[in-house]
This record gives sequence, C-alpha cells and structure tokens, in this order.
Amino acid sequence: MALAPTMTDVQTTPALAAADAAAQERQWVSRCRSGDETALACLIARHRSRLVRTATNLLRDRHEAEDVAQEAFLKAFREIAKLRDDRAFSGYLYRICVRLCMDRLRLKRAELVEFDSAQPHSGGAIENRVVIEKILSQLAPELRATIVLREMEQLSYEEVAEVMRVPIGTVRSRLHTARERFRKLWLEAVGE
Amino acid sequence: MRAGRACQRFSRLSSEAEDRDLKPSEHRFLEAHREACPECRETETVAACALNMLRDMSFDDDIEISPTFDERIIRRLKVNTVREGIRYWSPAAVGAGIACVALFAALHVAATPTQMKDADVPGGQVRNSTPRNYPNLELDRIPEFRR
Repeated sequence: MALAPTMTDVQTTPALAAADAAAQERQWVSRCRSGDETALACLIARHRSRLVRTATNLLRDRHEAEDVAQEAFLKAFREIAKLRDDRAFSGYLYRICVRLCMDRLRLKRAELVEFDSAQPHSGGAIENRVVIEKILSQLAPELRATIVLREMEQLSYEEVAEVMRVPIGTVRSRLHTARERFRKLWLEAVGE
Repeated sequence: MRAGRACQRFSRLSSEAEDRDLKPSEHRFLEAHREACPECRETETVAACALNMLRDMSFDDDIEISPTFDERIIRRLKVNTVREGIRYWSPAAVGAGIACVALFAALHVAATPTQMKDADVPGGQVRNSTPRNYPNLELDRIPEFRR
C-alpha cells in the first residue's frame, strides 16, 4: 500500500532541490580549480542573470553592467585559489561584482543636476523614472549601493553587510542616510 | 525650518519601520507624531511613494544578456592562461639559454689544447704540443752596461 505523501515530503522537495543544486555547484567549483572548461561554463550559466541584474540595478546601464559582470567572473575564476570553501562561491562572486560596480561608480563623476523647480513636475511614470535615475547618480557610491541592494535586490541587513564587508550597524546607518538623502532630493525634484 | 528632535526621531523610526518590527512604544510614538505634525505626515507619504517607485525600477532575472557573454569570458580566460604560462616559464627559458651558452663556451675552451713546458713532461720533451713561433728578441744586441 503506497503511503500518501506527507506534509514533510512536500515541504522538503524544494529544500532537496536546493541541496542538490548546492552540491552540484560545489562539484563545478572543485572542477574549475583544475581548469575544467565545462564546469566553468556551467557556473557562468547559473550566475550570469543574477550578476547582470545586480550590476544593472547598481549602474543603470545594461552594457556597462555586462562588462562588469564579465570582469567579476574573470576575477573570481583567476583568484579561485583564494576561495577556501567551495560552498561560498556564490557569495564570493556576488561580492566581487558589487565591489567592481562601486569602483565604477567612484570613477564616474556625479552629474550635479539642478532640478528645475520652476518647471512643474507632472508626475508621469517616465518622468519619475528619469528623476529617480538622476537622484541615484547623485548619491555617494556606498549609499547608492546600500539602498539599491536593500530596496531593489531585497537583501536583508545581514546580507548587505556581508556583501559590502561592513558591520550591520554601518548598513543601518548608511541606509537611513541614503533614504533621507533620497527623500530630500525627491522633494526638491517634485518642487515641494 | 529645522526639524525638531521629535521630527528627527519620527524620520528615523519611519525609515527603520521598513526593515524591522518596531516596539509598541515606537508604534505609538509614530502614530502620535503623525497626527500632530502634518509636515512629517506628508513627507512620510511622499518618501514611501518614492521608495516604492525605486523598488519598481528594479530589473528582474529575465534581463536580456548578449549571446556571446559566456564565450567572451572563456576566451579571455584562455588568453590569460597562455600569458601566465609564458610569464611563468620565461625565467626558466632564459636560465636554460644562459646555461647552454656557458656550456658551449666551456666545451670550446676545453677543445683548445694548452702549451706545456718541457720541465713538466717526463723525459723533458713536450709532446702533443702545437709548435709556436717565438719572436726573436735579439737579446745579444742589447748593450751591456757596466757601472
């Protein structure tokens, strides 16, 4: 007599799939260390979307985001000997990508745009997007990265702290400062 | 007008409410200040709206990626591997070249026979020596000077 699937069985299926995926990734990382090109291609295929998406959210330029994502992969594979635990590859790669994005943001000069408060802000969707892009470009790289990772990437405080290699208190403080600055610039932009 | 301490606290808690569960006392403070301060109330509404727009501007996972993305990475890694190989082996290659030149020079010197003295050879005769033409110093023509 076949046993009906229990709640436990249903609940553990996604967990099992995640565990299988993690084990598979560990094998690929291990094979990458010995120069296995197939393993390399598998890791790229698994992580490229997330990396390009994060870089695009941070840099707001898809082509530049692809360049940075490629640089992140290259750096991660060249320095894979520094990675002590194969399970930590995903976080290691993500941290490299965020750090490279912040380096790019520091090199760019923020365009100091004065919002034309004489021109009424109509509140259209496209206009709002343009205003938000401008506001993001005016934030310091650390503040911009913090608010993007929290609000767009939906990372927790702990995850943001791990990616940016700062204490959680610093993340909290930067996030508050970034939101305050964002709010102030938004109010200036809408002319209130 | 500079925000008072209550307004600053309201602003901070309002921001933290996005990320954590506030204590009941903090909730009560926010409610009370929201009713008492129309400026903070309106600013909070506008800020929440702006943050929501920021979140909506997030790109998702089905973002379009160039078809040659993977290939470019692997190609650059291969080029880098060849360059690193050349850099790694070049000192050894230079050392091997120097060693070859030194060996060649040593063999050349060894192949050239040396001049041996008669006194060093048993029987007083030099054997296997290359005959040399000694210059004629004409010592007999040097005058003898007497003191």
